[in-house]
Amino acid sequence: MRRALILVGVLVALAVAGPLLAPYGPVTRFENHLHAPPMPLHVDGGGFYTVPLRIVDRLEQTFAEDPAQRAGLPWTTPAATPVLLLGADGLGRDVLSRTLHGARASLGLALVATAGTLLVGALLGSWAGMTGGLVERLVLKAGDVLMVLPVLYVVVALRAALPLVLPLPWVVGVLATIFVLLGWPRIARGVWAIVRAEARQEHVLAATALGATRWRVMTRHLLPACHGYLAVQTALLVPMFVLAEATLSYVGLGFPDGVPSWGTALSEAATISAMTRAPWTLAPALAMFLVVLVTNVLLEPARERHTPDAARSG
Amino acid sequence: MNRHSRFPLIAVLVVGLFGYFWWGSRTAAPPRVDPQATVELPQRGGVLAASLRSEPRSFNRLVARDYPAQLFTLLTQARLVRVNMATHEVEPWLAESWTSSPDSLVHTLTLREGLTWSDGVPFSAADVAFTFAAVFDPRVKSVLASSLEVDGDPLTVATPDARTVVVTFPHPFGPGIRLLDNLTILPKHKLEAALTGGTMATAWSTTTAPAEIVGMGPFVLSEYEPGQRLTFARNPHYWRKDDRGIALPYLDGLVLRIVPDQNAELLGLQSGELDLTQQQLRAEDYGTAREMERAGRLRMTEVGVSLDPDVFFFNLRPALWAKDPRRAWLFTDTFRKALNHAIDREAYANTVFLGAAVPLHGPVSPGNKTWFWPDLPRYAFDREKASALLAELGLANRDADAFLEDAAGTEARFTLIHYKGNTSLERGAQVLKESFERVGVAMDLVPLEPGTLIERMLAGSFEAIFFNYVTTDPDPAMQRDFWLSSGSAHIWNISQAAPATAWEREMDGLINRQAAAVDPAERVRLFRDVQRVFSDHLPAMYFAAPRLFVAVGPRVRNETPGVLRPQLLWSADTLALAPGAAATSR
Repeated sequence: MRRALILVGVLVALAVAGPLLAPYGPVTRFENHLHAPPMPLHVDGGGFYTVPLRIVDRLEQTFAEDPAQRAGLPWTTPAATPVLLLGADGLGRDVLSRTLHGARASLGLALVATAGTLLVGALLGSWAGMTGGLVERLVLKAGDVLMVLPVLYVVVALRAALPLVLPLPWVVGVLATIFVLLGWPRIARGVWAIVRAEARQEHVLAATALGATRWRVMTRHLLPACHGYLAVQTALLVPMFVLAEATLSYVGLGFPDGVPSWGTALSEAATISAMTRAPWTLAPALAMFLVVLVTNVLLEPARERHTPDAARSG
Repeated sequence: MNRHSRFPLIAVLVVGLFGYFWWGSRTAAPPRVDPQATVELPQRGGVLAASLRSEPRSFNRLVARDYPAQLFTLLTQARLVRVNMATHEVEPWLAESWTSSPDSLVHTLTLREGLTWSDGVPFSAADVAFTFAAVFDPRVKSVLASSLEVDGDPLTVATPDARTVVVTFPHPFGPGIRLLDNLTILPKHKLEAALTGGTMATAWSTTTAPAEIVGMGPFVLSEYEPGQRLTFARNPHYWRKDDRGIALPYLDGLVLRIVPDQNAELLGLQSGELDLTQQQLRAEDYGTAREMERAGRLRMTEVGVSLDPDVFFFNLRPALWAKDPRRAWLFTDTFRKALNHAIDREAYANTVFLGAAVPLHGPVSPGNKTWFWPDLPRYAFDREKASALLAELGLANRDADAFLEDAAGTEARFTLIHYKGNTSLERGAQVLKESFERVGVAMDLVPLEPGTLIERMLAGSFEAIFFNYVTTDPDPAMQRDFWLSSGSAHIWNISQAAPATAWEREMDGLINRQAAAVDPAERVRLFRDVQRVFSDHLPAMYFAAPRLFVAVGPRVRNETPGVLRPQLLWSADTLALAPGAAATSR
């Protein structure tokens, strides 16, 4: 659980601090640096510096370093020429800045959706597990129906039912709602199974016999047994929602073009020429990979603890 | 496997994937062909592979207007005269010559002697008369009918003998016999029963046996595999010969592979699976293609300036704005003029087309040499002027944000829909958005699938659109659907019962007079007047016309690219393969 909290803390910090670390605005364009390659850092007695690029052939998008000049880091000494540490995209925007700005939208959405999914799934699952009967059947069947729906089609249909243009808070709300709607059944089913098993434990029966309310039994005795499971699910949901945002934004159903997110930034790299001649535009994909990696590394022990031995050895 | 040990594996896989995309395309290089071979005279033989973005809905040109059906018809059928896509001039085709009456209403065409259909049946003027009857048969509802009418009245045809066709125009028409380029001649002996039986509209569907589809084009369909390819073989009865007397087409066959994605097209060209693609290169692919050219994997040719610049327009249907609080300013000429002043067209060309474009101020690009007017009034890039015009409309910044508001507090904001997946439109829309924001006007961008966008355009369900309008003929009289207020391609306010504005009424009159005039100088003068009215009211805005580059594989010879689609296959009968490559088949 502690590792899950560390993970959430790291991601929140990234989402909050990302834009603050960006050297340029997410839509600041440098017209003479379309698809400019990354400018490597040099160091000498004067500290870190880069060598500015000049355009050689605009159509072929070839650049050459201008050794007569040097530029400091964009955070310390604003240079007359752009300093593009991770290169520029097809509109001449700094890839590093867009990746950092994009962290806020992508991670923020993933965290909100994960929290919502865990909350809704845990509440419905534990309610079904404790109550049994009709409530249990309704919750589980509703979850089954949602789990067999083709996710992309559902998202397309839900998004298409809304107006073409939505204010940004609405976009976040709609996407998070869609993610929660499609994500809660798996959580609910897992929590339900744990609650059902836990409810037969002696300490739970004793608490009930002593007159504990249903809410107290659930929050004090049953849900704590789900901590490990929920931590594992956090490890799965965060990267899943990061990738889902990227996919939806990539196909035009997520954040609008003007909002920097990893998905909208990746849509810039959607052509074979961009992938082969400007691979630095895939930097948001690398950021996503790192999030998935960090999430897995941090939560791997929890996952191992909550994986059946047979499955682990297999 | 221990779970921890999977992370290095994942990392290796991801790095490997990036590496694959980066380098993979370089591993499938086709054999290099000696560039010196390009000086050789074209020879017969070989099968060429080209791409096709989507499948034909029908093989019957009378009822299908989609591009694959048009291309299919171009390859398998023929017309009486054709417009040369390289020169834009009319040239004899099935008709070897013609004479016109002094009033240009009656054109008498003489058909070539000894022509036969691809199944060996002789061709005659009766086939031409049959085709006219089919086009204007109300049961067929032919999509070609309106293109063979003048002012709503159809052309009529008479066939006094087997080699003579007399076409009579109901009214004077400036382009004259050029109109017949729209008419694909069909075989009476194959389709007469369908026309008589009322099944012409469903004849020659995509499930028809290839042997049943006969024509007078350079190729015949030999196989259609849905979702995969269309395979064509040489038409053994094709009539054309080259200067050396060699029977055309040079190619033994042609394969159209269905490749829906332009990235896949480029990879196909790179790997040698394709010899040519259906469209010009995107600006962002120029660098990749140039590298491939240096490696001998393809050849690039600059064709000229596009006749189809991207176009931005507002919905000018009065009904849409009747209750909209923005009507007072968004619906005005002044607002559009202000936006026009806000665009730096040089920067636009540099950003969107990487410099391979010419700034454009009107609907006719410099690529259209006959009809382009270099002295068209221009809206210079001037943000101060733009702001002054917006202020005239009562728009001012009345709060803390970056955008203007009118006196009622309504923000200067509108929604632009544009094609999704078209990189020049996507980049162009971003540049426009930034440019407009610099003068305080907000624009929300919504990318849509082409089909959805067209549906919205036809239904009038949009505020503004940015898309690509495809020109089929450089002559404005052949594009009256665009210019006339009643036209189905009058994009800002389609198919009006009566002109909605005085300036559209004026433009209707001018374009009708222009179409009816037969004196070329008079037609040019009248069309300049049309462009002046257009420029005064700006129903649509243009920013840059790209220079077009086409790429062909190293096996291809003797191509004559044009600026209009299909840039290369319009002259498929003279395409050839390098002698060594012709021995191999696709």
